[in-house]
Amino acid sequence: MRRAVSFAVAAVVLLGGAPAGGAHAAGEHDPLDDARKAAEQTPFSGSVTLQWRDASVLHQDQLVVQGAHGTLLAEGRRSAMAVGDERLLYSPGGGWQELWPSGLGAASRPDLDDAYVVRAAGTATVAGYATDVVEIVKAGAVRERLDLEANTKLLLQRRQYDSHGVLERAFTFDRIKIGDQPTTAPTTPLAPKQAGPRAVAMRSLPGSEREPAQLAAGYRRLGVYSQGDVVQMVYSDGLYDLSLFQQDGGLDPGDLPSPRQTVRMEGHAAWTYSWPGGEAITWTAGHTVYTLMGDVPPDELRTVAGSVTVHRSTSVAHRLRQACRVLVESFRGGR
Amino acid sequence: MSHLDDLLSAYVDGELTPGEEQRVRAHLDTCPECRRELQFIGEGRSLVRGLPPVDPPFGFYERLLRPQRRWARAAVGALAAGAAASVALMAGAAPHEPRVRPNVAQLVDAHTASASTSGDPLSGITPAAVPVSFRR
Repeated sequence: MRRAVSFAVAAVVLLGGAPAGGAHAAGEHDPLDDARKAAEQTPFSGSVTLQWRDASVLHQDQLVVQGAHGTLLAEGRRSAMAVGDERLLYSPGGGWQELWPSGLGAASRPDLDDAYVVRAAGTATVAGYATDVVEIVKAGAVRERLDLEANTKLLLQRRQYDSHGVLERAFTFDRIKIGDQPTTAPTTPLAPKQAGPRAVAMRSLPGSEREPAQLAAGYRRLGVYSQGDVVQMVYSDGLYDLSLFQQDGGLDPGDLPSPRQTVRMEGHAAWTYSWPGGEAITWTAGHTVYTLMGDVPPDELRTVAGSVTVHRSTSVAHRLRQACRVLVESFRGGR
Repeated sequence: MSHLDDLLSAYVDGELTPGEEQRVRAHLDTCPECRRELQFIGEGRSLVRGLPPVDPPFGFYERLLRPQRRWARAAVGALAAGAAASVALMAGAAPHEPRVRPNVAQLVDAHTASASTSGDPLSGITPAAVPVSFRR
């Protein structure tokens, strides 16, 4: 038995948008779907360079990546592993942690061609392998350029651009050996810490939190999960995945981590973060702190963030209590 | 289940059946509004319980029993005292908004994990191997 203790997550199937156990709604010609199948079925080992833009600076990092028997392992200063739908993370000092239990399955994405045009763009060579180049286009602008290995369809290069054609992120194999089993095949950890989220049934959410089912630019909600006091809503437009995290309470900007950039969104302050896998924006509205993140270009992320419905309390009782508190505090000398 | 409303008071008073209690707990797990409401109720009750007993002033009952026009003044005074007590009680029950300190690095890991299950897992999971260095 791989695990000493079996994982017993209280996963409840989401009504009206259930995780589909790894199934994808995307069409047969979805290149990312082809790449996913190839990554799960093709043994390989190599090294990858990640590039990402933070403001105007392009950062990069190099990682060792390998795959065999449906298990993928990326090793850098941490190690990340995908085993079927399960996701695990190893941090020095922290050991293995289960980020996403297999019991939650995989969210079913909308079809890629609902919002994008997918077109062949010739051939190229990446790390010595011939590739078929595919472009994913939206509103006339190339948003992604994928290099799929000609025989296996393994993704050897993925370049993401903003709406002005500026490179935002890139994943590129510098070196790869396809077909041979890696000399040391990745092995799954015996007993990772089980810290993953649980699915939340939509009907258990208060009416105000069932919205938004859709966000700007065609993002549809795929699932709702919770971990501690954080609610995570997952959205996709068929290409990019977004997570909208909601935390109940107020925000003191001094409590936010750094480095961050302050931006204006709908006339209010918001704070943005960049990391190798995407962008995040945090803001507060009503009695909730929102953090929206994904590998979507930054300009689109802000547009989508602006479309999040804010649920302000309109309860008469709540307002009366607040008014009484203000009154009493004014007598106490404004403490 | 929509919001709990009156069920919350019954829940605090321990008047629910075990089944109802279980459903209320499940709802509270996912409903911040009801959790806030529960907090108001709890705080309001604590406030009332914490009030010291007050003895009536000397001669209060005698004056109360004396048929005079002072009744009207006493009634107005009582109403004013009641209103002040209500305001104090409502103020005490007003929500203390919890302070949120978003752990962006942890949220990034959670997002990377969920997003990599629906797209290409290779390019999706690889960024998680680069530590996110957001610090307070």
